[in-house]
Amino acid sequence: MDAEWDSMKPFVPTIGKEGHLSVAAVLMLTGFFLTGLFSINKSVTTAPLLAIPASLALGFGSVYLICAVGVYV
Amino acid sequence: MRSLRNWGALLLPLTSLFSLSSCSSADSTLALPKDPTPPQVFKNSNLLRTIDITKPYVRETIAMVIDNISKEPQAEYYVPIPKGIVENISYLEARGEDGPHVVNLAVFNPESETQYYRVLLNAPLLAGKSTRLWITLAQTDRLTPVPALIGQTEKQFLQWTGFQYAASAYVTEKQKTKIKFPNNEVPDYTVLKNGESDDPTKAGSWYTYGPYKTVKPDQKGGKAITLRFEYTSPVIKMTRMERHIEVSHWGGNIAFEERYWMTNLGAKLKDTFSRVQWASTNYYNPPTSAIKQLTFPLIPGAQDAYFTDEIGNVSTSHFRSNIREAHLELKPRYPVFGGWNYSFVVGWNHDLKNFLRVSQDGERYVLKIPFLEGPKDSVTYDEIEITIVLPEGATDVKYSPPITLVSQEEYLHYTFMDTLGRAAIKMKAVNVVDEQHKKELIVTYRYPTMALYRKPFVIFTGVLTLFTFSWLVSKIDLRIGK
Repeated sequence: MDAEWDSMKPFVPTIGKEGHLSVAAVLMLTGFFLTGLFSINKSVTTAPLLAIPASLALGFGSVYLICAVGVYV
Repeated sequence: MRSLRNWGALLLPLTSLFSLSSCSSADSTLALPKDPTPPQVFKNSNLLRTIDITKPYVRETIAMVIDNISKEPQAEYYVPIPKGIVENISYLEARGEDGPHVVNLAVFNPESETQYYRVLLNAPLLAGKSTRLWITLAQTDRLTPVPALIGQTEKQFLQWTGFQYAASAYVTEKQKTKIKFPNNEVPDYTVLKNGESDDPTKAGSWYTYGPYKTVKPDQKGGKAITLRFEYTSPVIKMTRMERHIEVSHWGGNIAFEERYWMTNLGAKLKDTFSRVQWASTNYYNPPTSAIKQLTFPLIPGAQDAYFTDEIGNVSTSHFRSNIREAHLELKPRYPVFGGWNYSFVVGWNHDLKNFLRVSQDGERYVLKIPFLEGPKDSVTYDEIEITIVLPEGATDVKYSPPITLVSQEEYLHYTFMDTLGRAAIKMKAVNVVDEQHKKELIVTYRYPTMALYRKPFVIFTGVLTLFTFSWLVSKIDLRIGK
């Protein structure tokens, strides 16, 4: 197994520990902003354009937020 | 002939039961000899035993030259251990000129007073040839404080009882035993006569019994020797230790947490504890039998260290961290004297990149972590439990523990944001000494990219469902009339 270890490259996360808080803040604020827009505009065409990006931002944002506060999931 | 047949049955512990029962049905007088001995195929032409009692456990190293005196190549060397001590043995390792040998416990007769460890030589030793063999073993709980009760500022003495010869299953032509004490203060030791000269001979903190001429296996250890020596440190014993390691790919973090149940096996206090005396003598920092401080030498790069107990954070700790070292120094809430207990928790984080490597295709991972990390102070462990929690969705988990375990299991661990549960490994071992701290544990696993996105995807789905639901609710026409 040691040979395998030597042939592999170190694991580098997409966003390091120092970036968690800022990334989480940007994503969460975007998410909440889009949610606000969604609440005042519910036409059939614009609703999915707001809801899907908002969900994505809140999904990734909450994972980074929990990491930023020290609960590494 | 009978003894030969007997021996053959004994050699194979698994088949011994079967062959014994078949023998006994055929010949009711044939029974196991009381003390079966291995065949005399070797002789030890020279043997040096070193006993190190500077730590709370006894570490014995036997360096010897073994000769094959039989007519055939031999690959099995037996090491006798008295029955009462087998349970104290933390490990027994054998090494030859060509590296470590495989060692296992050979059960001939569980009732016998002498049990045997079998060393399987890497290559059979040819007839008439000789080779070198090193055997290292550690025994725990073999040192007792004498006197058992001392004053708060008195010196502590420990006592060890052993034998003058290294017990061997074979004839030993020449041998001596060297004993390493923690310091020069040895008030009592057994004096023997070896021919004309006094036994032992002293040189500083080293005492030497021997050299002795030919010793036969039936002489066993020879005369008992008892040594009483000053021991200036506490006898630290972790009755239980739980080590929890959690790997996070999202956070790029590996978290370590260790729970300790600690006790001091040193001499107990004669009178009640005097805080005033403790505070006044502490100023000079004298050696003491109490556990005052523990230092954890962590791997450089450790962050966010903490030290808590049942009450909460213990503020008497220092975490000194720089590029070269990371020392976590803890002071328990009270000095832990002989017979006293203290339990605590320490934990810290590391960046994952130094411990985890990934294959070129990005799905195979290798995790390399220290199996144990404990205090720098010498300790022994009664039972340890090591849990490694891998990211959720990791599969094909493989690992090879560096020490003998009593049990191991794979299970699912649930914590924050988990839907399926995380793959986790739990390993248990008993009677471990601090020499195992350096050993490494390697875990390999497969972690597909899809599994990584499970957490944000679950939240995405949940939030999107809420959006859809609120959109549907907003479209319900609740107006009365037109």
